[in-house]
Amino acid sequence: MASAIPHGEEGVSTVWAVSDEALLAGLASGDPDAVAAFVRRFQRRVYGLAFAILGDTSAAEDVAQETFARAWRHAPAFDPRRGSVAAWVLAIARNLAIDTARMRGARPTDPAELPELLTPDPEPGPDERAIAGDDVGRLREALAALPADQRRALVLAAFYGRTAREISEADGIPLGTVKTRIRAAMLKLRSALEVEDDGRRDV
Amino acid sequence: MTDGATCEEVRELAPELALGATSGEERARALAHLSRCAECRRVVDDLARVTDEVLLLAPQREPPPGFEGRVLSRWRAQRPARGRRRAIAAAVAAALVAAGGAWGGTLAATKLDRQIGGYYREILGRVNGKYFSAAPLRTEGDRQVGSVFMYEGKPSWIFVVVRKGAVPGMREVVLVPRRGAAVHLATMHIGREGATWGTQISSGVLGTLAAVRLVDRGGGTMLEAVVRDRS
Repeated sequence: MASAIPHGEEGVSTVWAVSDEALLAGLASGDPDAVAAFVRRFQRRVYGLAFAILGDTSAAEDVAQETFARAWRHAPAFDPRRGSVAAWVLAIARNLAIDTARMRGARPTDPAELPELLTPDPEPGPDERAIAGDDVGRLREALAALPADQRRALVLAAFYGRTAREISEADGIPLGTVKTRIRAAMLKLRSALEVEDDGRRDV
Repeated sequence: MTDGATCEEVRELAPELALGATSGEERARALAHLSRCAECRRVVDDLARVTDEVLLLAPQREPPPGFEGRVLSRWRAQRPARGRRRAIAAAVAAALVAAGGAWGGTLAATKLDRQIGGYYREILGRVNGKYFSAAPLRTEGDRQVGSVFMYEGKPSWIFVVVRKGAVPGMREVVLVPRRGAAVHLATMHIGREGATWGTQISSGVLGTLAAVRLVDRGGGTMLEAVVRDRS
């Protein structure tokens, strides 16, 4: 995959040996090679998430661009103890995408798209394991194992920023039922992540 | 006085809070409680981590051709001036290899960007530490004028980068632990172009920090970087 190979004489091994946190620190200090490597490392995830939420290539690109712009502005404030760099960047992308979606008018939800989130990534990049780790695999399995109603509620909230009330009104389900589904889904996913978690990120 | 939510109510609402799926009113009541209750905060933070990780499940997708170039052009258009970039990059590389003792003062960067960048990457690639973080250094008016970088490993180090635009003058670098008295670490001089300073530091100290401050001779705090609580 051409986009996964960094240009320049440094070669692949040096760049990919640098952890996400160190790359982000490079971003914070304005190192141009760190900025380029950071974009390469995360662009498919950032654009992928924006596209999943917006379904529109140019809107998704705008969001992805703005996500990286915010990443280099806010890099100095990143706290590795609160979560991974990947999650941090994607949260930025998600919030921007949701804001964009709201401004353009709600995009009709398509239940058929949700299963797409369950399939293993058909084109994992060389960084897949480096960024995702085993947590993501366990989470994907746990999401697949959820009852469809719980999975739908969770995905609508997590990816599309819907509140419980919005889901209840759009789907014609009692609010209490939606809340119960969201809670049950989240608690199951949390258990899936609890295995082998010491809460620390290694450089 | 508005009655705030109870722990029980907040714990039940926690999954929705973590997802942002609550109503405005629910959120406001919960936040009032969370501002006072560390245990409930821990519960919500824990679930917020689940939300974060769930986002990683979205399918990856190749951006349109030229995307990377457009992002980098945008970055180049707003990057700081050349001279300061060299000074910062040089400071990063130098602080990482500081083998012992403190060094101070404004670096006169003479190396090319590429050399420094490559050296820096190499050092980071070899580094075998546990924890690397940065905290923004802000004025009392909350304007960011620099950063404090901290690396915990063998050895641990800390360094302070102040940008051009900060008030020049002599400053004392003070470490403020969460418990106990503040410690004066060194004196640095902020020039018109800013300044950099760094030192190797004993393992374990970084974990006890609440903040790093640059204090003027009168003892007034000019700049502060708040270090996130690790507990």
